[in-house]
Amino acid sequence: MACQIASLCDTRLMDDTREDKEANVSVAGRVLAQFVGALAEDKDLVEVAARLKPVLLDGKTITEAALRQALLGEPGT
Amino acid sequence: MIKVESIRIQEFRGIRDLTVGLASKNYAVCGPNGTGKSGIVDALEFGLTGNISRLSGKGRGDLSVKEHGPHVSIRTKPEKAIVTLVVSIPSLSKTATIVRNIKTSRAPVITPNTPDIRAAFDYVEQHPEFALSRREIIKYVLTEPGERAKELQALLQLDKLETTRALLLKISNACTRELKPLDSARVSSSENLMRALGITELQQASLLAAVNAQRAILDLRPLGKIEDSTSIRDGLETQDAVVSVKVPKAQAKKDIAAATDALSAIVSIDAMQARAAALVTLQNLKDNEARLTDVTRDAMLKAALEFFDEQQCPVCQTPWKPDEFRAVVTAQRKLLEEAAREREEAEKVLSPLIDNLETLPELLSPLASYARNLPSPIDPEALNAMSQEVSRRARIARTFLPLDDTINVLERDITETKAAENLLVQLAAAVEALPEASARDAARDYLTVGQERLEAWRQAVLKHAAAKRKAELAEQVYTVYGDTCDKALEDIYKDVEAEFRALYRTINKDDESTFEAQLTPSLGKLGFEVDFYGKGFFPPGAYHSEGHQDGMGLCLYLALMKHLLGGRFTFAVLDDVLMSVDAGHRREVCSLLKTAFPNTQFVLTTHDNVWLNHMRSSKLLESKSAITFRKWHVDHGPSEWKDIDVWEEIDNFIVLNEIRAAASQLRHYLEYVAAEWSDRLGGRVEYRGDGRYELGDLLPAAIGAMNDLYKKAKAAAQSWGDKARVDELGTLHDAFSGAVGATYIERWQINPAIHYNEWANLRREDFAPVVAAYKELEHLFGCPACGDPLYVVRTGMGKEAVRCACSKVNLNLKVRLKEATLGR
Repeated sequence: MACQIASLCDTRLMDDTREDKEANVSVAGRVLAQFVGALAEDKDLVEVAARLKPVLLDGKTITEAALRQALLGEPGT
Repeated sequence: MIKVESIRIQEFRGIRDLTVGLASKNYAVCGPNGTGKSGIVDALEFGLTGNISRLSGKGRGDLSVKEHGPHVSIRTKPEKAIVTLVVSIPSLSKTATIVRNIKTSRAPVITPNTPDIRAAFDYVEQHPEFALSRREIIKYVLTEPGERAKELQALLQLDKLETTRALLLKISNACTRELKPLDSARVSSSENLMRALGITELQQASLLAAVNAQRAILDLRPLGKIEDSTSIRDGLETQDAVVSVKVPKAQAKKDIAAATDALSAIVSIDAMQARAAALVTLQNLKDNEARLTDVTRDAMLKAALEFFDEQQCPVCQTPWKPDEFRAVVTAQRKLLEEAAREREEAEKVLSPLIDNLETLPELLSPLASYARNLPSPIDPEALNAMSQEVSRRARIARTFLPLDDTINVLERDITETKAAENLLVQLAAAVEALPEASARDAARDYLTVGQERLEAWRQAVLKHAAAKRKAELAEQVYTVYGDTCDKALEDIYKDVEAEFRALYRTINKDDESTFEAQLTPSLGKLGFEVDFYGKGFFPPGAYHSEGHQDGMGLCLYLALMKHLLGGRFTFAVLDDVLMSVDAGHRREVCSLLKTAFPNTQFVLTTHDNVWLNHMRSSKLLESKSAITFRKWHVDHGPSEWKDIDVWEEIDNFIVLNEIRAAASQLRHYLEYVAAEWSDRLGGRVEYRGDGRYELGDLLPAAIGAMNDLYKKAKAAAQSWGDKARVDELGTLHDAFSGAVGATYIERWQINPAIHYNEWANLRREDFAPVVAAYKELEHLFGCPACGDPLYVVRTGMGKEAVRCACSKVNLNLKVRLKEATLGR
């Protein structure tokens, strides 16, 4: 559990001291990373955060199917 | 991000073939309107993004990049319209080339085509906001709050956040909807279980009592408790003569009785009266059915009020007076609110009838199985037909609208009822005729059917619980998302606001050094108010001049870009964005761009040659970092004025005998340089309330300042006993006075009322000496070695020396202390 939280918090670029890295991420990306980080702070939502992280932060278009699958932990079709 | 080394433009927009070397430095494109400046801006945008925003998007009508991007002479050959850019990529310390033609605009040729370089070009393509025109700059400042929120969110590329928000809400709503049928199934399965076990409540104690009574008949050990995996028929398999019964008589009788009751409930007198009452209610609603349909539009009307910009309906753009618009929409919402209440009342009346209809298929389902498994099977079709019909009617009634459909299903008797009733009677008789089970067989059937229904109930409970968890989870995640996003956006706007305030103060430090601004996000809008000299906060267009508004637009854009790109803000095209900024603030704008964004390459377009010179003198541009267009021809494109300074430009006008143009340019230029000289030398200009200083104000002040400085320099040299220096200064002063005197041969420049008339009358030979005199005067305001204008070095309140950039000129103004003391 602790490792997952640490891994998720690493994506919270507002806390990242490397300015270049922060600048390379879009504003929306930064906000989404904050969201994933906020989920990860709730122990009941750590797994949800881990599943949502790649869907929201990989820069691809976010689809309803992918989001639902990640949010609810439903198997992919 | 990138910087542009050079651009070649071929057969593109109004340009036939033009190469511009920008050298990854700030660069200006200057020329009168219609000479081809925008062609370069369009080419930069097209080369880097494949798009020309001037020809695409909202409000562009029939314009398209494909059809109108190529030069008009080759519009059927878009493959010949080519833009080639050589760029430097600071983060990679590499250079690369991108070639794009209009025919295959989405497939540029990149060299070298390596992943890191492709990524750099992809990044630029994703940020077309690097190009900014005045039309765009003003929209951030003067647009309505709702529109501004959209514009700024688009610039900051926040649409992904809204998409995610909408998807999370959709998923949350879907999860809640999916819960309802599972809840019904859970209730239904619990009723089936209780009926099978002959109990009235699903409690551990009552269930155990009923089950253990039957198990006792079969000599099975009593169950101590019922857990998730407990089988109430545990041990039954080990008993002799355990055979599965196809139709458990006792259970079948109970099920037939329940189904008969349910069927009767549908056709009972009570049900008939309830149907009649519901029909009256629905008929009463018929007159207002349109409003009932519109109930779903309430959310839209609510949004319309939120997005109303005090001028136009946000949906159809019809102009409205604010009070009238709000009154109309509020009245509509009130009607809808009333309609929603009426619908809710009607649905309450309908609900028990629909419940009855929905219950029946669940009860008829096992009966069909019994009918098929009897020793003499019975065709269950009548039951199936009844199930289908009541399910159809329940679905229509739940949907509610259109009312005619719901009224129809209530008005019409269910013709399948009679056949179903007959079949139930027939089935009851057949079941009754089955041999009576022994007590042990009955107990065995009880436990077998009970276990089946217990399992079905467990499954229903599990499915419902899982769905409920999902619904709660989806709602919780949506709430966290909303809170996080709202807070993040608020923080973003606060950061942008602070950056904007700092930038604007920098360019207006003379009169608005304590300027404040407020960006206030609220319900999809973004309010923007600015402080007006401490008199309160107002919309930017309320009291600030157009020039100040231009400055605000630029500062807001720069603040947003800094926030959006951070260290990657290395390139921006400012297309005539500062046309209204007055001369007094241009210096500060140049200084801001140069000092606050030292790593950003700005490409600036202007039709104002003086503005260009200002950019040069402020060192925003290097002397060669500009291209000046003189004119444009449809067949040849823009004509460039290479390496021609203002004096050559004026000389050219004289050669062409365009004296009016030459005089205009001279005056324009002299106003600029005289202001510059006065500023550098401390010239005193009589205050003008309107702040519009003209040549007659500025030039005498500059000349007066220079004369005073020569006098001071001579006095200082005298005090030091440096006779040679005194003589040298005397010679310089005489030369300066002579040059000033030469300019007096035509006094036209002093009085604008006179000189405008004089222009029309001046001939080439009359005007050439005027130009020569001022050219010489300009020389004497500058250093003979480096050409830079002279400036005063100050210490505290005193003037210490007159110097130039290369220090070749150094006129000491400080007198010997003793002399100075005696002088007092």
